[in-house]
Formats: sequence, structure tokens, C-alpha cells
Amino acid sequence: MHLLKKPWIIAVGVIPALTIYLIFSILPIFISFYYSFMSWNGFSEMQFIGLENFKEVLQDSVFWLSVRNNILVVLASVFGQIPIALGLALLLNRKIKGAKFFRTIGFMPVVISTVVISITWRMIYNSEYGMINNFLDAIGLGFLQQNWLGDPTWAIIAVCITIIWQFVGLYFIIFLSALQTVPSEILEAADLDGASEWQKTRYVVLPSIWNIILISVVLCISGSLKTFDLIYVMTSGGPANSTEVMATYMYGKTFEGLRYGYGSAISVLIFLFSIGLILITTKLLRRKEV
Amino acid sequence: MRKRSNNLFLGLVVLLVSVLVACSSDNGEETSSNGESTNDDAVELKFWKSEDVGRADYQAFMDVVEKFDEEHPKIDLQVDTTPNADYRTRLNTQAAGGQLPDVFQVWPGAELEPLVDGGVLQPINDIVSHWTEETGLLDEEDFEDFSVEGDTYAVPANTNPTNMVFYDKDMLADAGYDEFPETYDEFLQLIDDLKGNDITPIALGNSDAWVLQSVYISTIADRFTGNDFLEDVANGERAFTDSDFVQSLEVIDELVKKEAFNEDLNTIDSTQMVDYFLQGRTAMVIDGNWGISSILENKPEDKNIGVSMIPLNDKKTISTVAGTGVAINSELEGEKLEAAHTFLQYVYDQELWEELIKVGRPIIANVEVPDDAELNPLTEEMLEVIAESEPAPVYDATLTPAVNDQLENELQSITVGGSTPEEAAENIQRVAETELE
Repeated sequence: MHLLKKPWIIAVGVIPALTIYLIFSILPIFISFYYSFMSWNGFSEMQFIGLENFKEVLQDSVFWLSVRNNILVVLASVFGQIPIALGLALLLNRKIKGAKFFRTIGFMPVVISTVVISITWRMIYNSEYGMINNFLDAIGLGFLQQNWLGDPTWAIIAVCITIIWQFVGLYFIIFLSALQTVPSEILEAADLDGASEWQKTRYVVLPSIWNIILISVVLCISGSLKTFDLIYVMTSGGPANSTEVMATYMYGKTFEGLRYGYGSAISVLIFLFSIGLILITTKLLRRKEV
Repeated sequence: MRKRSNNLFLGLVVLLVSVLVACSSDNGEETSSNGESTNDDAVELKFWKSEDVGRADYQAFMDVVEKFDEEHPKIDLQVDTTPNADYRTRLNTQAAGGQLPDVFQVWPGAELEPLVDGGVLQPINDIVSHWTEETGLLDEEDFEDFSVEGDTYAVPANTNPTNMVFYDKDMLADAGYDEFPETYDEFLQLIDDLKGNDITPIALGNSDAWVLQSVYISTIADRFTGNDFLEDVANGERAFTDSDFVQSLEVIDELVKKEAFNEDLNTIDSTQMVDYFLQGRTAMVIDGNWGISSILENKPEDKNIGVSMIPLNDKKTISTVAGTGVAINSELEGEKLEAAHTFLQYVYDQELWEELIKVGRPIIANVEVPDDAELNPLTEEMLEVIAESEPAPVYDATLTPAVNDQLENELQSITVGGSTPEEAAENIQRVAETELE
């Protein structure tokens, strides 16, 4: 306790981590701001071009496509991952046979490397030898077969489904541990009052884990905004940009197209979008909290 | 209590300091590639190479590199390989950060220029005479692709014709073709006939988007536009919207509309497309000359494969570029530079080229086919096709990365019906113009 009363001691503890964080996380954001006003291919002399990059980005139809796709990913995550995870957690919070087994299965995708997930799902979705199309064929629903990742209308949906699958386990575990903190006395009291299972869930369980749900939503949004690896490996933004999200587009322009200035301008916009979205959601959710 | 917390604090500080010290001391000894600990006075040379596991020519190159390492105890060679698709990104990013290794693989033309402009490469003009005069293995003009404004930066190992049609002779015979078609109309007829036999005509794996560009358009467009097109575009004298270039995009559009390709062309890569062909799912595959390595390695015994150039218009051009050059970091000097020169002179020698011939790669060096080389008939056939052809520029070796990126995207867009050839041409031209400014 004495330790925490001396601010300089706290400082000694915090400074190393803070320095590293500032140098590797915060400073680059400002450097990106600087680069975004430049025309630069990474090697040559930088050339100051003012707001040209931003002008170009805002008129770039592929950029707006990537924004749209990113919003789709966010929506799919918030309205896919959270409800499914919550439902599963409520189910498995009871004494069901094999609950442990299901818990492990549910959490599995979270510990598998994203690259492995991407490649596996790419095979599952493949139109010629993939599992889904073969399965549809086998049960006589061959007419439902699609070129899942090769058709621009289906590709982003297919990617969203994989993203949901990948992270359901994470929120599932978070909710499950939250559910175990719900005091059993209150539940027993509700039982005595003759509350039905639905009423118990609706009026006792959910309100007591509401905070956790809110945190999960924020995590979910910020996670989906920076989604990159899964899409990069699965489709690398293709076919014809139909699964491009902001991060993959920024990466492609910067490191593959060698336009560091333009890429930085995209990064700055991603930064602004993310800040904006997070501010809005926290505001909306706060109101509910009260 | 007071005393105890002070001790605790002291302990924490000691722990922190020792961690920091541990971090700043050398990051552990890196082992040399031959696994032995090396003596202290050995010169350390870091070498980066793009990796193509399972390809015979890659193995041939690495065998020579390894042999070099064994025979030069005074040079501690450290080899670091990166998968082909990621190598250029890694190289360019590290170059931008000023953290390149001592010697590293580079690509010619448009990919070499920014590195030269950025001043990260060192010319090898002083040692070029080793090949042109002392050994006579290469001629002056062989270095052209790796030269920028009169300075030479790397030695080419092989030439890379990027468009070869490999076909299954039996499948073609079943469709009524004993010979590969000689005109484009016959080629289109062949596609129809194969489809009539319920066979997918051509395997294509374009998920990485470079195949339609490097393999297809580089050659197809040249047959319409002629050799000087890209140069003229760069000068602003011609444009991608010119009707002859649009016609070449229409070829891709037509093949897609005819369903000449496997349906999953945008979700499989260039390795898988060769697999499709070898598994008998398709009658043909169009790939660069490098495709022959995996075809020979993996083909079923009883498969009869032939190779041809694509019959299109009256020209016999195949887009071709020099390959597998190794450049030297501009910061090297003294013993390190000497070691780098020794490395280049050792690796790019008779032995490497003989080995490359043996695995079927076309080379530009003045090296005879070694007596013990048992060339596969398919290799011989391919070398004949190449000998018959005339070179044309390869797009990704000539265009700037931004334009090339756009071209690849638009080609993909054509395959999914997103852009018409005209729209694609306009979009490519727009990026080309911003690059010209």
C-alpha cells in the first residue's frame, strides 16, 4: 500500500511500458499523419503534396467499397458473434451432459491460427471440390451451389460467416464466465417467486451480466475494424476488390503498390472512422446503462 | 513494513534493470547456415532469396549456394528465405526502412528501378568483366535487364519466358486434334470441342492476380500492340485505351465468357492450377516456363504432355524477362564487399547453369548442354518453342507497381463481369496518368 502512495514510484513502474507503447503504437500514428501529406514510394525523396492524397482517397470507389465491406464485417460480428455466443453460453451454463466437451469445441477456433482457419475455409468454400458444394450436391440441393469465394456477391458473405465462426468461441467463454458470477441466491429467490426460466433469464441473468455484454460489443467492433489477416489469406481482397476491407486496401496500396503517402492517408481515415464509431457506440451504450 | 516494501522496490528495480540489460546485449548467436560455429574472423554475409520449395531450379540454385558456404570457411554465409509471393513485399518494406541484408535476390526492370533510385543497391560494374571477358559465360547485353542508366546491378541466372501452353495430348486427340492448333480460330474451336467432351479446357489459378497479368496479358497484348507499346505508354505517346490493347483484354473476356477456365479461377493459386491440369481436370494449363519444373516432378507416368506457344495473330512473341539476379547492398565495403563479389562470382558459374539446364530452365549463358544431362522430351520441346520465339516485355517487369496493381485488379474484374474490357482499359489508363504526372 505504501508503494502506491508515492507517485514517483508508480512512475518508475509505468514509464518503461509507457515508453515502449508510445514509441511503437502512438508515435507511428502521428508519423502516418505526416506521411499522408506526401507523395512517397518508400525509397525516393518525399514530396509534399498537401491534401492531394485525401482528395484522391475520397474519390476512390474501391476505398468506399472497402468501407462498406468493413461495416458489413462489423455488423456481422456484432449481430452474429454476440447473440450466438450468448445463446450458447446460456445453454451450456446448465448441467448438460458433455458440457465440457462442447465448451472445448466452441473455444477451439480462437486458439487456431488465423492462417490455418483461412486456408481450411478456403477449401471448404471451393466451388469444385469444396465441402459445402459437395454436401449440397449429396443431399439433392445441388441448385444451391455457389462459387462462394469466386463470386463477388457471395464472397463477402462467405468471409463474414468465417469471421463469425472464428470469434464466437471467444465471446462464448467471456459470457460463460460472467454467467457463473450471477449469485445463486437471487436465482433461488426468483424460483421461490415462481419465475419461469425465460423470466429468470430476462430479468435476472441478463441484467447482471449487461456490463460484460457491453464490453464485448465494444471489443467486437474494434476487433472487426482492424480485421486483416483472415481476409488477406483467404481472398487477399479479391476477386476484383469485392472482399476488400480498409486494412487490406491500405496494405495493398502501401506495400504492394509502393504508395506510402497514399496508404498513410487511408490509415488516417481508418483512424478517424474507428474513433468516430467507438465514440458513437460508447455513447449509445452508456445511455442504456443508465 | 516500511523496510520490507523498500526491499521489494529495490528488488523490482534490479529485476527491471537486468531485463533491460538482457535485451540490449546481443540477441544470441545466429548460427551460420552450415550449422557449425564459425571462427571470429569470418566475414558475415547475409543473403536473402525468394523460396520456391519443391521446384527443381530453386533446389539447384540453393545447392550451389550451400556448396559455396562449405568451401568458404572465411565467409559466414547466412541464408534467409521467404516464400515467393511475400518476398518482394518484404524486400521493399525493409528497403524503405533501410534494413536490407548484404546480398539479396532482385527482379529486373520496374522492380529494380525504385531500389536503384533509393540508393540501396551497389553497381557491380567492376566485376562484370569476370563474366564477359575472363570466363566468357555471358555477353554484355545479357546484363541489360539488370542495368539502370548504364550501371549494372545483378547477374541474371536464367531467362523467363512467361507464357507456355502445356496440354494433354491424349485429351486433345480425343477431341480430334493430333496437333496443337495453329491459328487462334482453331484454338477457340478446340475449346468448344473440349467443352463438348465435358472437359474444362484451361486450368487457371488467379487468386494472387499476377497470373492473368504476367502469364496471359504480357504475351497476348504484345501480339496486338507490338514490342514498343509499354515504352510508348510511359512516354505518353500511346495509352491503354488504344483499341489494340483493349482487343487483348477482349481475348480474356472472350475466354471467360466461353467458360474456357475452371469455375474457381479466382480462388485457387498458380500451384493449384498446375495440379488441376496434372490431375486431368483440364486439358491445358497456361503458365510460365517455370511451370515445367512441377509438371515434370509431379506428372503421372502415363500422361502425355506437349507444350506450345499460344496461337494468336501472326506473331511468335513470348513475353520474356531475365531472372534470379542477386544484388549487393550499397553500404557494403572492404572485406564484406569482397566477400559479396566472391559470392556472385562463385554462384553464377558453369555449374549453376549446367544444373539449371538439367532441370529444364532456359538460360542465357554461353554454356553447352552437359553430356550427362538427360533432358526430358518435354523440356526439349519447350526449349525448341522458346528458340523459335521472339521476346516481348513482361508487364510486371516494366510497369510501375501502382499501374501493375490496377491492371491485375481490372483483369480479375473482367473475370467476374465487374468491368468490360473498355472500362478496364480506362481504369488502368487513369492510374497510369497519375503516375506520369
